[in-house]
Amino acid sequence: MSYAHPEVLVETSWVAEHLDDPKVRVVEIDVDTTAYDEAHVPGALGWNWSKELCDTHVRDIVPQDKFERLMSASGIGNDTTVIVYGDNNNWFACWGLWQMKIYGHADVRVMNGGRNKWLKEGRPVTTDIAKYPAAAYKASEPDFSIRSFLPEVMTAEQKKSAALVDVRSPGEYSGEILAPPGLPETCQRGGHVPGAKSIPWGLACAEDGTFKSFEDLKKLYESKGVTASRPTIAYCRIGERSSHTWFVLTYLLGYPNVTNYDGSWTEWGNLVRAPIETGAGG
Amino acid sequence: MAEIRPEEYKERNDTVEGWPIGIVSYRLGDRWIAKIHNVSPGAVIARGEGRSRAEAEGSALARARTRLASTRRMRDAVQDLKQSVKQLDGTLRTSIKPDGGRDRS
Repeated sequence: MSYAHPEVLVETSWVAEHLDDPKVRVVEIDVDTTAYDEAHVPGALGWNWSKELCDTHVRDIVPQDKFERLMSASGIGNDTTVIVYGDNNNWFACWGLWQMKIYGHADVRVMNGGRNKWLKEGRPVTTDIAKYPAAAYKASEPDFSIRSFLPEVMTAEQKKSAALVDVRSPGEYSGEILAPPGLPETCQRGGHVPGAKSIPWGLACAEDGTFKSFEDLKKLYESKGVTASRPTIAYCRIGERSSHTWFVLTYLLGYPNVTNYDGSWTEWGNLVRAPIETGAGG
Repeated sequence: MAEIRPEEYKERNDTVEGWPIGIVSYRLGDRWIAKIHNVSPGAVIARGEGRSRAEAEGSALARARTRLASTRRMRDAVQDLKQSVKQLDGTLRTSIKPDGGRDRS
Protein backbone atom coordinates (compact mmCIF):
# COMPACT_ATOMS: atom_id res chain seq x y z
CA MET A 1 0.00 0.00 0.00
CA SER A 2 1.30 3.46 -0.80
CA TYR A 3 1.33 6.45 1.47
CA ALA A 4 -1.94 8.25 2.12
CA HIS A 5 -0.66 11.40 0.38
CA PRO A 6 2.32 10.35 -1.75
CA GLU A 7 2.23 13.68 -3.58
CA VAL A 8 3.93 15.44 -0.66
CA LEU A 9 7.10 13.39 -0.96
CA VAL A 10 9.62 13.53 -3.80
CA GLU A 11 12.73 11.49 -4.38
CA THR A 12 16.15 13.00 -5.01
CA SER A 13 15.93 11.79 -8.61
CA TRP A 14 12.73 13.82 -9.11
CA VAL A 15 14.43 16.94 -7.73
CA ALA A 16 17.43 16.38 -10.01
CA GLU A 17 15.08 16.31 -13.00
CA HIS A 18 13.33 19.53 -11.97
CA LEU A 19 16.27 21.76 -11.05
CA ASP A 20 15.53 24.05 -13.99
CA ASP A 21 11.75 23.88 -13.72
CA PRO A 22 10.51 27.47 -13.23
CA LYS A 23 7.41 26.21 -11.41
CA VAL A 24 9.55 24.50 -8.78
CA ARG A 25 11.53 26.21 -6.04
CA VAL A 26 13.90 24.19 -3.87
CA VAL A 27 14.61 25.45 -0.36
CA GLU A 28 17.16 24.12 2.13
CA ILE A 29 15.97 24.81 5.67
CA ASP A 30 18.04 24.37 8.78
CA VAL A 31 18.66 25.71 12.24
CA ASP A 32 21.66 27.49 10.80
CA THR A 33 22.81 27.83 7.23
CA THR A 34 26.39 26.65 7.62
CA ALA A 35 25.66 23.50 5.68
CA TYR A 36 23.97 25.52 2.95
CA ASP A 37 27.03 27.76 2.75
CA GLU A 38 29.30 24.73 2.33
CA ALA A 39 27.35 23.57 -0.71
CA HIS A 40 23.74 22.98 -1.64
CA VAL A 41 21.44 21.68 -4.33
CA PRO A 42 21.93 23.91 -7.40
CA GLY A 43 19.35 26.66 -7.45
CA ALA A 44 18.23 26.02 -3.88
CA LEU A 45 17.57 28.88 -1.52
CA GLY A 46 18.75 28.71 2.09
CA TRP A 47 16.39 29.57 4.89
CA ASN A 48 17.55 29.94 8.45
CA TRP A 49 14.96 28.45 10.80
CA SER A 50 15.76 30.76 13.70
CA LYS A 51 15.88 33.98 11.71
CA GLU A 52 13.39 33.46 8.93
CA LEU A 53 10.73 31.11 10.25
CA CYS A 54 10.66 31.98 13.94
CA ASP A 55 9.79 35.09 15.87
CA THR A 56 12.30 34.61 18.66
CA HIS A 57 11.06 37.67 20.53
CA VAL A 58 7.66 36.20 21.35
CA ARG A 59 8.65 32.58 20.65
CA ASP A 60 6.25 31.96 17.82
CA ILE A 61 6.19 31.23 14.15
CA VAL A 62 6.72 34.34 12.04
CA PRO A 63 3.59 36.45 11.57
CA GLN A 64 1.68 36.36 8.32
CA ASP A 65 3.17 39.55 6.86
CA LYS A 66 6.75 38.42 7.47
CA PHE A 67 5.98 35.01 5.99
CA GLU A 68 4.55 36.72 2.91
CA ARG A 69 7.71 38.81 2.55
CA LEU A 70 9.91 35.71 2.83
CA MET A 71 7.95 33.83 0.19
CA SER A 72 7.79 36.84 -2.13
CA ALA A 73 11.50 37.60 -1.82
CA SER A 74 12.21 33.93 -2.57
CA GLY A 75 10.33 34.20 -5.83
CA ILE A 76 7.66 31.86 -4.56
CA GLY A 77 4.15 32.52 -5.78
CA ASN A 78 0.99 30.92 -4.48
CA ASP A 79 1.10 28.40 -7.33
CA THR A 80 4.79 27.48 -6.96
CA THR A 81 5.74 23.93 -6.09
CA VAL A 82 8.10 24.20 -3.13
CA ILE A 83 10.52 21.39 -2.34
CA VAL A 84 12.00 21.51 1.15
CA TYR A 85 15.00 19.58 2.34
CA GLY A 86 17.72 19.97 4.92
CA ASP A 87 20.38 18.58 7.12
CA ASN A 88 19.44 17.21 10.53
CA ASN A 89 17.38 14.52 8.82
CA ASN A 90 14.89 16.98 7.35
CA TRP A 91 13.64 18.05 10.79
CA PHE A 92 13.63 21.75 10.02
CA ALA A 93 12.48 21.11 6.47
CA CYS A 94 9.40 19.43 7.93
CA TRP A 95 8.94 22.44 10.21
CA GLY A 96 9.04 24.60 7.08
CA LEU A 97 6.39 22.45 5.42
CA TRP A 98 4.24 22.57 8.57
CA GLN A 99 4.52 26.35 8.71
CA MET A 100 3.71 26.70 5.01
CA LYS A 101 0.61 24.59 5.59
CA ILE A 102 -0.40 26.86 8.50
CA TYR A 103 -0.30 29.75 6.04
CA GLY A 104 -2.11 27.77 3.38
CA HIS A 105 0.55 27.03 0.77
CA ALA A 106 -0.98 24.44 -1.54
CA ASP A 107 1.97 22.55 -2.98
CA VAL A 108 4.93 21.93 -0.71
CA ARG A 109 6.81 18.63 -0.67
CA VAL A 110 9.68 17.04 1.23
CA MET A 111 12.75 15.62 -0.52
CA ASN A 112 12.97 12.09 0.84
CA GLY A 113 16.29 11.46 2.62
CA GLY A 114 17.20 15.13 2.72
CA ARG A 115 20.62 16.64 2.23
CA ASN A 116 22.51 13.53 3.29
CA LYS A 117 20.98 11.36 0.62
CA TRP A 118 21.66 13.94 -2.09
CA LEU A 119 25.33 14.11 -1.10
CA LYS A 120 25.70 10.38 -0.65
CA GLU A 121 24.39 9.81 -4.15
CA GLY A 122 27.08 12.14 -5.50
CA ARG A 123 24.58 14.56 -7.01
CA PRO A 124 25.77 18.03 -8.05
CA VAL A 125 26.03 20.86 -5.54
CA THR A 126 27.11 24.46 -5.69
CA THR A 127 28.06 27.37 -3.48
CA ASP A 128 26.37 29.87 -5.78
CA ILE A 129 23.50 31.74 -4.18
CA ALA A 130 20.41 31.63 -6.34
CA LYS A 131 18.44 34.81 -7.03
CA TYR A 132 14.91 34.84 -8.35
CA PRO A 133 12.59 37.64 -9.38
CA ALA A 134 10.36 38.63 -6.49
CA ALA A 135 6.82 37.30 -6.45
CA ALA A 136 3.69 38.70 -4.86
CA TYR A 137 2.77 36.09 -2.30
CA LYS A 138 -0.48 36.22 -0.36
CA ALA A 139 -0.76 33.91 2.64
CA SER A 140 -4.02 32.62 4.06
CA GLU A 141 -5.10 33.38 7.58
CA PRO A 142 -3.17 30.97 9.81
CA ASP A 143 -4.73 27.55 10.21
CA PHE A 144 -3.93 26.53 13.75
CA SER A 145 -5.85 23.27 13.52
CA ILE A 146 -2.47 21.61 12.91
CA ARG A 147 -0.81 23.26 15.89
CA SER A 148 -1.28 22.62 19.60
CA PHE A 149 -0.76 25.21 22.28
CA LEU A 150 -0.22 24.56 25.97
CA PRO A 151 -3.92 24.59 27.03
CA GLU A 152 -4.75 21.80 24.56
CA VAL A 153 -1.85 19.72 25.79
CA MET A 154 -2.86 20.24 29.40
CA THR A 155 -6.38 19.10 28.54
CA ALA A 156 -5.04 16.08 26.69
CA GLU A 157 -2.84 15.17 29.64
CA GLN A 158 -5.62 15.55 32.19
CA LYS A 159 -8.55 14.10 30.26
CA LYS A 160 -6.64 11.69 28.01
CA SER A 161 -8.49 13.30 25.12
CA ALA A 162 -5.59 12.86 22.69
CA ALA A 163 -2.63 10.58 22.26
CA LEU A 164 0.56 12.35 23.26
CA VAL A 165 3.61 11.26 21.29
CA ASP A 166 7.04 12.17 22.62
CA VAL A 167 9.42 11.89 19.67
CA ARG A 168 12.64 12.73 21.52
CA SER A 169 15.39 10.23 22.26
CA PRO A 170 14.87 7.66 25.03
CA GLY A 171 17.37 9.53 27.24
CA GLU A 172 15.43 12.78 26.97
CA TYR A 173 12.12 10.99 27.53
CA SER A 174 13.35 9.26 30.67
CA GLY A 175 14.89 12.41 32.08
CA GLU A 176 18.45 11.13 32.00
CA ILE A 177 19.45 14.09 29.84
CA LEU A 178 17.86 17.51 29.37
CA ALA A 179 18.89 17.97 25.74
CA PRO A 180 20.36 15.89 22.94
CA PRO A 181 24.08 15.27 23.58
CA GLY A 182 26.10 18.29 22.49
CA LEU A 183 23.16 20.70 22.35
CA PRO A 184 22.19 23.36 24.91
CA GLU A 185 19.80 22.51 27.70
CA THR A 186 16.59 24.48 27.36
CA CYS A 187 14.65 23.26 30.38
CA GLN A 188 15.06 22.83 34.10
CA ARG A 189 13.58 19.35 34.44
CA GLY A 190 13.98 16.08 32.65
CA GLY A 191 11.20 13.63 31.85
CA HIS A 192 8.04 13.67 29.80
CA VAL A 193 4.40 14.70 29.84
CA PRO A 194 2.51 12.10 31.90
CA GLY A 195 0.95 9.48 29.67
CA ALA A 196 2.99 10.36 26.59
CA LYS A 197 4.18 7.47 24.46
CA SER A 198 7.84 7.36 23.52
CA ILE A 199 8.18 6.97 19.75
CA PRO A 200 11.48 8.59 18.71
CA TRP A 201 11.24 10.33 15.33
CA GLY A 202 14.00 8.17 13.86
CA LEU A 203 11.93 4.99 14.11
CA ALA A 204 9.96 6.35 11.14
CA CYS A 205 13.05 6.28 8.94
CA ALA A 206 15.27 3.70 7.32
CA GLU A 207 19.05 3.73 7.67
CA ASP A 208 19.44 6.14 4.76
CA GLY A 209 17.04 8.65 6.27
CA THR A 210 14.18 7.92 3.89
CA PHE A 211 10.76 7.17 5.30
CA LYS A 212 9.75 3.61 6.06
CA SER A 213 6.91 1.99 4.16
CA PHE A 214 3.26 2.67 4.95
CA GLU A 215 2.92 -0.79 6.48
CA ASP A 216 5.96 -0.39 8.71
CA LEU A 217 4.85 3.06 9.85
CA LYS A 218 1.33 1.84 10.59
CA LYS A 219 2.69 -1.03 12.62
CA LEU A 220 5.05 1.27 14.50
CA TYR A 221 2.45 3.78 15.67
CA GLU A 222 -0.44 1.35 16.15
CA SER A 223 1.77 -0.85 18.35
CA LYS A 224 1.93 2.12 20.73
CA GLY A 225 -1.81 2.80 20.58
CA VAL A 226 -1.46 5.79 18.26
CA THR A 227 -4.20 5.32 15.70
CA ALA A 228 -6.17 7.36 13.18
CA SER A 229 -9.30 7.15 15.32
CA ARG A 230 -7.95 9.41 18.05
CA PRO A 231 -6.49 12.95 17.99
CA THR A 232 -2.71 12.93 18.28
CA ILE A 233 -0.35 15.58 19.61
CA ALA A 234 3.35 15.23 18.80
CA TYR A 235 6.03 17.05 20.74
CA CYS A 236 9.81 17.06 21.19
CA ARG A 237 12.11 19.73 22.63
CA ILE A 238 11.48 22.75 20.38
CA GLY A 239 8.99 21.38 17.87
CA GLU A 240 11.19 20.55 14.89
CA ARG A 241 11.49 16.78 15.38
CA SER A 242 7.80 16.63 16.15
CA SER A 243 7.00 18.39 12.88
CA HIS A 244 8.78 15.45 11.22
CA THR A 245 6.47 13.03 13.05
CA TRP A 246 3.48 15.29 12.36
CA PHE A 247 4.37 14.98 8.66
CA VAL A 248 4.55 11.19 8.89
CA LEU A 249 1.25 10.81 10.68
CA THR A 250 -0.61 13.40 8.61
CA TYR A 251 0.65 12.75 5.10
CA LEU A 252 2.19 9.30 5.02
CA LEU A 253 -0.35 7.55 7.23
CA GLY A 254 -3.24 9.94 6.60
CA TYR A 255 -4.31 10.44 10.21
CA PRO A 256 -7.01 13.14 10.17
CA ASN A 257 -6.32 14.93 13.43
CA VAL A 258 -2.65 15.44 14.25
CA THR A 259 -1.09 18.54 15.72
CA ASN A 260 2.44 19.67 16.42
CA TYR A 261 2.99 21.09 19.91
CA ASP A 262 5.94 23.33 19.11
CA GLY A 263 6.11 24.70 22.65
CA SER A 264 7.24 21.14 23.38
CA TRP A 265 9.41 20.11 26.32
CA THR A 266 11.09 23.53 26.43
CA GLU A 267 7.72 24.89 27.52
CA TRP A 268 6.31 21.99 29.53
CA GLY A 269 9.59 21.13 31.25
CA ASN A 270 9.93 24.68 32.59
CA LEU A 271 6.31 25.14 33.59
CA VAL A 272 5.62 25.75 37.27
CA ARG A 273 3.48 22.96 38.75
CA ALA A 274 3.18 21.04 35.50
CA PRO A 275 3.20 17.31 36.28
CA ILE A 276 5.91 15.21 34.75
CA GLU A 277 6.92 11.60 34.67
CA THR A 278 10.44 10.25 34.58
CA GLY A 279 11.84 6.89 33.63
CA ALA A 280 11.54 4.77 30.52
CA GLY A 281 8.07 3.18 30.41
CA GLY A 282 5.87 4.52 27.59
CA MET B 1 26.63 28.26 -12.15
CA ALA B 2 29.66 26.30 -10.93
CA GLU B 3 28.58 22.83 -9.97
CA ILE B 4 30.62 20.10 -8.39
CA ARG B 5 29.91 16.57 -7.24
CA PRO B 6 30.71 15.32 -3.75
CA GLU B 7 33.19 12.44 -3.82
CA GLU B 8 34.59 9.86 -1.42
CA TYR B 9 31.52 10.13 0.83
CA LYS B 10 32.07 8.15 3.99
CA GLU B 11 30.15 7.51 7.19
CA ARG B 12 31.57 6.04 10.36
CA ASN B 13 30.71 5.82 14.04
CA ASP B 14 32.76 6.61 17.09
CA THR B 15 32.36 7.48 20.76
CA VAL B 16 33.43 10.82 22.20
CA GLU B 17 33.15 11.77 25.85
CA GLY B 18 31.02 8.69 26.35
CA TRP B 19 28.49 9.61 23.65
CA PRO B 20 28.02 7.67 20.41
CA ILE B 21 28.52 9.90 17.39
CA GLY B 22 28.33 9.57 13.62
CA ILE B 23 30.94 11.17 11.39
CA VAL B 24 30.21 12.00 7.76
CA SER B 25 32.96 13.26 5.48
CA TYR B 26 33.36 13.88 1.78
CA ARG B 27 35.41 15.85 -0.71
CA LEU B 28 34.23 18.82 -2.74
CA GLY B 29 37.01 19.54 -5.22
CA ASP B 30 40.02 20.38 -3.08
CA ARG B 31 37.94 20.95 0.07
CA TRP B 32 37.14 18.25 2.59
CA ILE B 33 33.98 18.60 4.64
CA ALA B 34 33.13 16.75 7.84
CA LYS B 35 30.11 16.84 10.10
CA ILE B 36 29.36 15.10 13.33
CA HIS B 37 25.97 14.16 14.69
CA ASN B 38 24.90 12.56 17.92
CA VAL B 39 23.55 9.12 17.06
CA SER B 40 20.56 9.56 19.31
CA PRO B 41 18.62 11.59 18.33
CA GLY B 42 20.68 12.45 15.23
CA ALA B 43 21.28 16.20 15.51
CA VAL B 44 24.31 17.76 13.84
CA ILE B 45 26.59 19.09 16.58
CA ALA B 46 29.78 20.11 14.77
CA ARG B 47 31.19 20.72 11.32
CA GLY B 48 34.72 21.08 10.02
CA GLU B 49 36.64 21.76 6.84
CA GLY B 50 40.19 20.99 5.81
CA ARG B 51 42.62 20.06 3.06
CA SER B 52 42.32 16.38 3.92
CA ARG B 53 39.68 14.10 5.42
CA ALA B 54 41.73 13.84 8.61
CA GLU B 55 42.00 17.60 8.93
CA ALA B 56 38.29 18.17 8.38
CA GLU B 57 37.33 15.41 10.80
CA GLY B 58 39.87 16.63 13.36
CA SER B 59 38.42 20.12 13.24
CA ALA B 60 34.86 18.85 13.65
CA LEU B 61 35.86 16.41 16.38
CA ALA B 62 37.51 19.15 18.43
CA ARG B 63 34.28 21.15 18.39
CA ALA B 64 32.16 18.10 19.08
CA ARG B 65 34.33 17.07 22.02
CA THR B 66 33.85 20.46 23.69
CA ARG B 67 30.10 20.36 23.23
CA LEU B 68 29.68 16.74 24.30
CA ALA B 69 31.83 17.23 27.39
CA SER B 70 29.33 19.75 28.69
CA THR B 71 26.34 17.41 28.35
CA ARG B 72 25.11 16.35 31.76
CA ARG B 73 23.63 12.99 32.61
CA MET B 74 21.12 13.80 35.30
CA ARG B 75 21.35 10.35 36.86
CA ASP B 76 25.11 10.81 37.10
CA ALA B 77 24.63 14.27 38.56
CA VAL B 78 22.49 12.85 41.37
CA GLN B 79 25.04 10.11 41.99
CA ASP B 80 27.83 12.71 41.98
CA LEU B 81 25.93 14.76 44.54
CA LYS B 82 25.38 11.73 46.77
CA GLN B 83 29.07 10.86 46.47
CA SER B 84 30.05 14.42 47.39
CA VAL B 85 27.78 14.34 50.45
CA LYS B 86 29.28 11.00 51.49
CA GLN B 87 32.81 12.33 51.11
CA LEU B 88 31.97 15.52 53.00
CA ASP B 89 30.40 13.47 55.75
CA GLY B 90 33.53 11.34 55.97
CA THR B 91 35.74 14.42 56.06
CA LEU B 92 33.68 15.95 58.86
CA ARG B 93 33.73 12.72 60.87
CA THR B 94 37.50 12.33 60.64
CA SER B 95 38.07 16.00 61.45
CA ILE B 96 36.11 15.74 64.67
CA LYS B 97 38.17 14.57 67.65
CA PRO B 98 36.91 11.63 69.75
CA ASP B 99 36.03 14.02 72.57
CA GLY B 100 33.79 15.94 70.18
CA GLY B 101 36.12 18.84 69.70
CA ARG B 102 37.18 19.98 66.25
CA ASP B 103 40.68 19.45 65.00
CA ARG B 104 41.97 22.99 64.53
CA SER B 105 45.34 22.01 63.13
